Amino acid sequence: MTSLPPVLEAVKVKRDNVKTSRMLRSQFGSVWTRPWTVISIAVIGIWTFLAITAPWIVPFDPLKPVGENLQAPSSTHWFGTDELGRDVLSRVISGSQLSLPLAVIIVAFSLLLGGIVGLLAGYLGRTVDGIAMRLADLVLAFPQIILAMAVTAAFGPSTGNAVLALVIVSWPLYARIIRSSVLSVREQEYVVSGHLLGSGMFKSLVKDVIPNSAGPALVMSTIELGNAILMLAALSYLGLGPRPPAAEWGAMIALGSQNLSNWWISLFPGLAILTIVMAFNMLGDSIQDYLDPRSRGGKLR
Amino acid sequence: MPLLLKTIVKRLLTTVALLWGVTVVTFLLVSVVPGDPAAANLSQQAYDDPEIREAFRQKWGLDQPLIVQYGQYLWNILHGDLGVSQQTNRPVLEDLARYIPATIEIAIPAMAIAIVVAVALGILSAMRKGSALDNGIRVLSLTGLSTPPFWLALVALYVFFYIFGWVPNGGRLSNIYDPPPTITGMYTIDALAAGQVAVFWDAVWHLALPVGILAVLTISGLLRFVRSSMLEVLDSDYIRAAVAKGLPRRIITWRHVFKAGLLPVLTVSALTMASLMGGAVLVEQVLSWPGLGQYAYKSALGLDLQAILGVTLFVAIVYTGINLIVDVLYTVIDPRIGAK
Repeated sequence: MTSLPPVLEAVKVKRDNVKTSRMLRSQFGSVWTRPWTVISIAVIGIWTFLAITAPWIVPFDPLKPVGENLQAPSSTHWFGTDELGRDVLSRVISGSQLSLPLAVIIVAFSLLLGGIVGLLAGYLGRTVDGIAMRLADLVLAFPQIILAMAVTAAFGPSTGNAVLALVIVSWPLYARIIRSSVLSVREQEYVVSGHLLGSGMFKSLVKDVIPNSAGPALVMSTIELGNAILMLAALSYLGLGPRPPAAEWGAMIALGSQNLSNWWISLFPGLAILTIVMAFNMLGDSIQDYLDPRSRGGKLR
Repeated sequence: MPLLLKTIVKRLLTTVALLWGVTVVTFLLVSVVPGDPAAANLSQQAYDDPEIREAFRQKWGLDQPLIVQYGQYLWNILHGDLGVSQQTNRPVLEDLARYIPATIEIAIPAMAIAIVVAVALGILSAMRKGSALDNGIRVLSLTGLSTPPFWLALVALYVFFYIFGWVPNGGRLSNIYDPPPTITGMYTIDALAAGQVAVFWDAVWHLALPVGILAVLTISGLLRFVRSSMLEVLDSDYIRAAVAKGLPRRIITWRHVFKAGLLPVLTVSALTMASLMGGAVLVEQVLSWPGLGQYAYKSALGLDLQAILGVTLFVAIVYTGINLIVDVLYTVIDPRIGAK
């Protein structure tokens, strides 16, 4: 058990009893050697590698016509070419350069915004809590995609506005999680004794509350990365994401949907989304199994 | 039951407050942001003419101060008037009455299929935890959760329409048929009511693909929840006690696990209706299904304030209404919750 993600190390450090910790580790270890987990980490690794090296490894320029249009997959163009004669394989690879970083940005900003709101709501309680949570309820009363659609349309379709819209619809999720963990941490003895030792609110938040309540929200963020990719693709499918000719997976699928006979234009970007999102979901599953001891027992014996 | 009544009244009040909030948010969103409804609805030539632009603004009250616009809007809603859509030039209420039944017609069957299948597979998966069957079911549900809805719809359309020709290309009815006389707005029911059997079957044929796709999308999310909720019950002390007592497995499964595990499923099914609406936006778009989702999309693109407000208000009412019913049911089924 050497290679655990930092998030989990942090969670584990909390366990003060060394003996229990060792015992638990030997059990938890199995989660990280399960084939699903290994495959999902590998898939995420491959996509990250492709996203980083895309400019050097794409066989053709993803934004320019490089051959006859609407060619079926062949040995030159593995995934075929689209209406404008652009190479679909190159576009799928460069698509990762948009989707992956944007998903990280969406999740990071949602976590930041939701984190601040949840932290203040949980720590200050009373009126602040009431207002913050009603606000969260309000956002959650809209179906995500409809609200995101309205926001993007209102601000004008562009990459930045799509990201903004997705942050607006997803922060309440993080706010709720952070709030509930802050509520329990707030009453802990070390926080109270921090106050007695003279910590002000800021010091108490930074030194005691945040480090001890961030865990669940960080786990949640891993899982939400996949969701962010899906939502972003949906917005660009509807024509509300990155503007053409950008190689965005959702927009590529929309382009291919105009004529079903050119199946390859839509099929491959869709598979790209499917694989990366599925990898994030599987990884999230493993992390949850790892953190929830109940999920290992509980068989009807 | 005064406690139950209190719960209902309290929830009704919060629901009203929430709906008011929805109108404020949507109103601000569409009014304050940089997008200009005049630009979205008028042609470039018309927009460049200041007179036409002003006339458009005046017609829709866009020249009034915001607070007046909002006050007017709220006043109208309270009198059952949702305004006129800038896109269709029809009253929004009329538009909703036209599009909502089309969405209900695919959403309700999809939901019903999804609940039955998800509960069955979820129980099976939980009972055989760790088996090949369990793993297979989990992978399938993960795949469903990770598939972009619009892409799934496209792939289904390609396979079942383009290759096999089993289903139509989209839409609600074949061109050769006229829509049946409107009673509910749902073609299947209206056709039966009018005794038009051929139209009924044609409508069912058109329903197959959208319902199937929405059901698949819904099953994936629901299934995970059923499984974990069943697992939680299986791990509880009273089940262990039942096993220790030597009760037959069949009785434990159906009398204890099934009942207890179904409670949380009730909640999540309600929440699923909302995600179903989201899925409907994309699926309706691919299959050219003239439902609420498509209407929402078109009005969002056109910055059609009245229409967007109408849709969000309707969805919020449905959503909070379902939640209210579930909460009440919950209190009835599990008295411990009301007592808290």
